[in-house]
Amino acid sequence: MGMNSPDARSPDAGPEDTALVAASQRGDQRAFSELVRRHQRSVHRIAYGLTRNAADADDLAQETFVRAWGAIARFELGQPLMPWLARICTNQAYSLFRHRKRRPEQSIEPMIEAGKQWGVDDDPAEHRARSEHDERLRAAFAELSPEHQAVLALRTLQDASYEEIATALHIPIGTVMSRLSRARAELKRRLDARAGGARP
Amino acid sequence: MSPDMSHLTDDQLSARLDEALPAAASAQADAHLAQCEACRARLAELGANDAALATALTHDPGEAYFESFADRVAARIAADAAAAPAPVPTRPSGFWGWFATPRRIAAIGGTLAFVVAAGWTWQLMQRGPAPPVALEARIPEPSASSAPATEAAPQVQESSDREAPATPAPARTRSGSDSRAMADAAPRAAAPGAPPAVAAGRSATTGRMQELRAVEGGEVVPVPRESDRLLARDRADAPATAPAPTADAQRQAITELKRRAVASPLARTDPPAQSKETAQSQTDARRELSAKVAAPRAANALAAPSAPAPAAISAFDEDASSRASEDGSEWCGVVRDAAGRAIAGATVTVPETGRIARTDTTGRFCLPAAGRDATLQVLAVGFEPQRLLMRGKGGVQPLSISLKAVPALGDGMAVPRDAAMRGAGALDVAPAARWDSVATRADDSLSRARGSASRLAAMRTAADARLRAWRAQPTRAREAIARAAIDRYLAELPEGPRRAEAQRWRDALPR
Repeated sequence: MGMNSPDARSPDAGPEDTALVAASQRGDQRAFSELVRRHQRSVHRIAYGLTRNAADADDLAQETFVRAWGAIARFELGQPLMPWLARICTNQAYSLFRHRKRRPEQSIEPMIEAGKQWGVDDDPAEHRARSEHDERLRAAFAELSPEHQAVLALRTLQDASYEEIATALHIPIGTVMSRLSRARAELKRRLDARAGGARP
Repeated sequence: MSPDMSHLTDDQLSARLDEALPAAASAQADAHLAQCEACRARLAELGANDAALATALTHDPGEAYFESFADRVAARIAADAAAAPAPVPTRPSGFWGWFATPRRIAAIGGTLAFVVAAGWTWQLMQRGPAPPVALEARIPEPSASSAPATEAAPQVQESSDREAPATPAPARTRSGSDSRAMADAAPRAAAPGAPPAVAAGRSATTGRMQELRAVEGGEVVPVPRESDRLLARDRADAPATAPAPTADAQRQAITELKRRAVASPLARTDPPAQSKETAQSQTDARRELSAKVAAPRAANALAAPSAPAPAAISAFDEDASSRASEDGSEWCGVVRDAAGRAIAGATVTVPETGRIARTDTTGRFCLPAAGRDATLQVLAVGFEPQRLLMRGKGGVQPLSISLKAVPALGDGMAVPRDAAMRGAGALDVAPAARWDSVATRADDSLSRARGSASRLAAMRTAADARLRAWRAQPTRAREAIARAAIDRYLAELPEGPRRAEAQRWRDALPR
């Protein structure tokens, strides 16, 4: 997979984005809504990849933009917006992940008990339709650490460059490279283990 | 790199897949790949996994979802703004602006805490273990009885210093003084600007060792302390407002206070005969005592880590609710149902701050206060969501939140919902997901069910949950799933009240 195939990306941070950000920083909510429309698919894609649950993805995507609005004054004008949004989204996902991991014993929330993980399919019809391999892949992905999930989601779903991932996750580019490599290796190991276990 | 040399590493393959290798390294890797079938296969597998992952993790919610998405975000922002009118927070410029990020504030706070802790630890190590008498030794002579408020602090310091040489551990005395200074900093700082508080009967000025009070005319007089009162009570011949007792008597009184506190840590209600002022003073005395005992306890803990902490002190420290209302940093409360039973696992959120708490088995929760007007949302499975508008900053009295149960299916087809909640968008979908999960679990237990009774029970739960999920988020997909679940249940259900109930569920879905 080459980097940055245009179909998977948000609209480029062109002059329109910059003007919309500037207007948003002055409090123009309509300009911000336009930014939301421009980036909603990308943010939702990351949110779903990280939660694998439509309801959580919706919540996470909305929360990302609500937080972005609250912090838009601090956004550095001229920078691409998407990595910044991805950063807010992954940070929110991390908090959600931590929160659900930290207190499962006190929860009667069936989502956690049923899934043994934080992401649970909310559409059984779709769930059944997925191929067995997809299911194994999703299950293996769900077992990765949040950091590995985030780096893989940004790379495979968003086709983000190493620079964009570095900005989004607030880590050096060298770390992006090694973390991606480890995440892929770990995913493969878990996939192999599942395939081995599935065989009679 | 020739084929007989070592294979490409995972890092190299991963970077090669992303075309992120520098030109020279990329050329080397390509040369190796051209001749090494194993590495080509590994690279192909990595690429295939990436592609499959992208598919497996993709979910298209449909055009309709995205058409209304921006509006839902705008509605949420508007709702937040209505709760807290600060739509675009701006960072202060200049020097202070640099601090105005949570990360930097945390870093500065952490550094300060470390420096203070390190300094204190070093001091303790220099001095060796604390003799137990240090506690009493730190109680100095009372200051002059008619000292004006402005002189109170220096006098206290003086008396503390004056006494230092006489104690077995002079340096420790100073340390105790430091810790007490921190404990008393707030009241003393408030003193200069404070009006005479005679009408309220409260002390306007609190010195270290002798509490002073401003009376009408600006005169400052000493307030008899708890220890004085104890003595007065113990010795019937001594008047309640007698001149300050001797240092020995004070020590005895403090020891008595401590003994009582340790003996009955929970007996904290003041005797009704005591005046309001007495109660206030007694509370102050306890706080003072608590602060005093806390320092040597920490010192002892260093010297003997296994020494158990005194129960009385723990009792003072661990009243979370009162602590929250004192420092204004937390919102705490209890979530109950209409019958007053605690609801465990209810989710309490403050959307403005993103803070989330979950109630424990006794229905209690605590989360950091927003520091401004904010909304407290309470969600629990099977109950109507509730929103509370929290006014102003700081903590509040422990909240008592009562949730109304969602009407049982069949009681009424329309589940009433708060219009404001509906406007909040995402809040609507979370219960739907929870019901889906309930149904998924029921499906799981159905697959393991032996016997028709348990099969029917699982199918009933699943059908009920699917219908509730559809009600919480009425999409076509959910409708179809709910219909399928109810039909499956009906197919095995014999005639009877349960069947009538299931028929009602079925009729609730659009035809």
